[in-house]
Amino acid sequence: MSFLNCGSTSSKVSELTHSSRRKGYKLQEKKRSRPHSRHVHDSKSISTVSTMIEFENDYQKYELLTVIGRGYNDAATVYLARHIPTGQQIAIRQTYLESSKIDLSVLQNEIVLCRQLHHESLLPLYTSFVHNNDIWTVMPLMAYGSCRDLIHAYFMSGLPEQAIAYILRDVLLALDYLHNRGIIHRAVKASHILIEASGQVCLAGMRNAYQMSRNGVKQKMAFDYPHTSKLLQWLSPEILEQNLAGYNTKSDIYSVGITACELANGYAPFSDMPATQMLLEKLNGIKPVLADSSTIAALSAEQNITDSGVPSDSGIDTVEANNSEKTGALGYAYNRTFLNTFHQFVDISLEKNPESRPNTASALNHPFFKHLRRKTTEALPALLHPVTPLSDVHVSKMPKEDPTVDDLGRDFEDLDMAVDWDF
Amino acid sequence: MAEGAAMQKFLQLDSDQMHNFDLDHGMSFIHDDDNLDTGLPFIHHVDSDQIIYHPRRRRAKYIGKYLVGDVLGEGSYGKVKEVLDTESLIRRAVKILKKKKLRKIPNGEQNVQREIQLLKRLKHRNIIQLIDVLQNEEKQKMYIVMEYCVSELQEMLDSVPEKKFPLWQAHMYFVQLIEGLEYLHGKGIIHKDIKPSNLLVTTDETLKITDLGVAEELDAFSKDDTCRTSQGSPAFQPPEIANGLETFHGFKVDVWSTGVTLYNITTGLYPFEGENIYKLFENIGKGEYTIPDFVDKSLTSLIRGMLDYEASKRFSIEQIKQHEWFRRKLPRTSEIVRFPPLSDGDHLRSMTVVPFIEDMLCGEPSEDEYENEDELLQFVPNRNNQITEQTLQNEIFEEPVPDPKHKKRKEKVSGTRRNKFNACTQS
Repeated sequence: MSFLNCGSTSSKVSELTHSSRRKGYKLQEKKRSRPHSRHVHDSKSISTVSTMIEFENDYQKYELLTVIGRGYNDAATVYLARHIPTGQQIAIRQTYLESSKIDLSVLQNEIVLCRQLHHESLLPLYTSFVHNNDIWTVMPLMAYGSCRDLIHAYFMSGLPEQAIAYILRDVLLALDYLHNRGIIHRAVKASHILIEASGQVCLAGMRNAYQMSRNGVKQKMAFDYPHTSKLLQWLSPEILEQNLAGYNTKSDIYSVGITACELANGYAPFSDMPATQMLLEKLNGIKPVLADSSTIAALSAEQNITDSGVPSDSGIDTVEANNSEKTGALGYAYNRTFLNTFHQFVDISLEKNPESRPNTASALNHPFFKHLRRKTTEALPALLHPVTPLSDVHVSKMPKEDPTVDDLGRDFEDLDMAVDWDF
Repeated sequence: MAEGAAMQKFLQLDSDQMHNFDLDHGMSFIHDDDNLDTGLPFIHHVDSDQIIYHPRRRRAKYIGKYLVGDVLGEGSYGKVKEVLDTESLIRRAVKILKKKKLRKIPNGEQNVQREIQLLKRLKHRNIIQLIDVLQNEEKQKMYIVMEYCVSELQEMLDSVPEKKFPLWQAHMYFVQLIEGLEYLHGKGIIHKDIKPSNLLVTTDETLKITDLGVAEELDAFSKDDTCRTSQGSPAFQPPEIANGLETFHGFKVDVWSTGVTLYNITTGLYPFEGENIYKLFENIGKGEYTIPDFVDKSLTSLIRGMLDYEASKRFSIEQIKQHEWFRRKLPRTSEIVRFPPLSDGDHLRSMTVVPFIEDMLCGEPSEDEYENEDELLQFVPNRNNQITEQTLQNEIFEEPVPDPKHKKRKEKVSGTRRNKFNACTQS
């Protein structure tokens, strides 16, 4: 009986949080006594998703090694961890249940959904359980981190075109799987695309996913607005519009188009402007483009106007950083030319009218994805050179007796790669 | 056309003057302007999309971080306008309350305070969600920011000749109404004013109970749901209130009003009517009503149970939920009653804030660039409004954005604006 695996557990958890305001410390006692009863029933429903290893819902079976990322408004911490019985390296995300910054129903949505889904390009969720005031979520270790990390670590002006083709192909495969099940991902962006040491690409961020079928009835359109404003740049015009037209799975294709620009340019489109201006541009059908020799002239002209005409206040802390990054990327852009097919793919994905965008199946047939090897793992690691995945060497250095994470964290400060998973 | 231009000029001048004389009426003058527009014959030749892309007189204004759009509705307390949260880009609705007006309404201020206190504690799919409360002491205005809903049931009913919903649609709303009501009662709150105009609907057909202005929260130590006061709408009041009883059971008042609502949305009629409130209360007091023949047995029995003269025999929420009609699954046999299009013909009820964003970002540059830049700086919304309730003394930019073509006004407004912006940065 893992967390949220059955209705009663989840309702108990939310009940606890509801009553916590009034009952205060009584609650603590209740909670402490909880995990025991939980583990008694737990062993039955252990997930065997995508692995033969059984991951127990028992915190004692896991050794937390070091913090490799944070997420969900800082309420979640991602650890590099070891599954003690098998010695396998995994990632564990701890989400603090009492945090005011999280919405339990959103977390519940993610866990319930992830455990029903199984696709090699979707980040699997081995198991999840509650320990103390945290939900532990056990996942495979994605040693290359996210595509956002790759950009930060080395590819400041964008990933190699071939790597992008492999990554987007796998993302589209994952989306194809989701869309066939009536699920809209809604959060396709570089920081949600993770890469395993083998080069396997996994789409994460299922917390934001929306199920078109509710109570067995399939809706034609979705109207729900995503809970976080961190996705705004990637959201399709029709989601942002919030009107009676609603949106459907095609909105994910738009996000793929934005992500394609993000991966190729090193920064996401619209990051240099206020959210309101981004909204206006999207509603007016303005399409971002890949920055290369064919588009750079238009881009620079546009940027000059932007620089002088509109206050560069977007309310985003990183505006200045983005601007300088962008100028750098633009300089680089003079010396590169992306394939025509890549430009065409981005253009068609970013069509304002959802009907004009390809669905996942036809997107996968786009010429940009022709001539790729069937297995991403055979090609991607070489394309990501010189970035290397978080390796075993780092782990063996660690004092295994001491599970104090803070100390380990210090030991690991000199890791050659900043793994920053944005969950 | 010359006449039209002259007229327009006159309008501008007129609003200028109004603005100079009474800053407090910045909001209403904009609105007056709009009304005049629609009344003038030469405007008829202009396409609606042309109006959107020539937003000369639709000037952007902020309430905190919220960019203000069109009026959604109007009540005795003030207007409800659509706004856009400029950080999350979520559509919201803001209820604008003028303290002057509020004082003239019996228990006005008290009701507003109570509503805010209640809404802060509530979180349910079928209860309107309070997002933010802002105040402007200087203007004596209060802004209650809430979830955006596309329409209210009453507006939808009014849009069709038969003034009722197909059964399956009525059922869909009724089930949600009961869910919301059960939650309220569970929290010890009696709504006291359930009726179609207090029930809103979102884009995805979720019903939201709104207007807790006359609701009563039972004391935590009270033994039962005894109430003494009622300020609800007459046609939806139960016999015990129509007969002027000293005390009555609160929960059963809501059940009655919900019964009247169900009667209304399924038949297009009211169980009790009267030429005036005395006649109406006399009829309710007698408790005699008929249900049209086309209403089937099951629904008739549910309505009878909810409109039982004796409060003690009247259905409880639990009984309603157990009732056969409530538990039915009704197929979507007939065409849904849709949200009626807005006055500009927009069936999709798209954001009305967009023209104001255009005005803010793409306003025609003035000859004097220096001043223009200065202005743009001032339009930056306050981004630190995360707290639910706050007092914004000088931070609410409610004046219309000055028109660069009108120098005199610009000087005046940007002067005050600059002060306001300073106040923002200091805090």
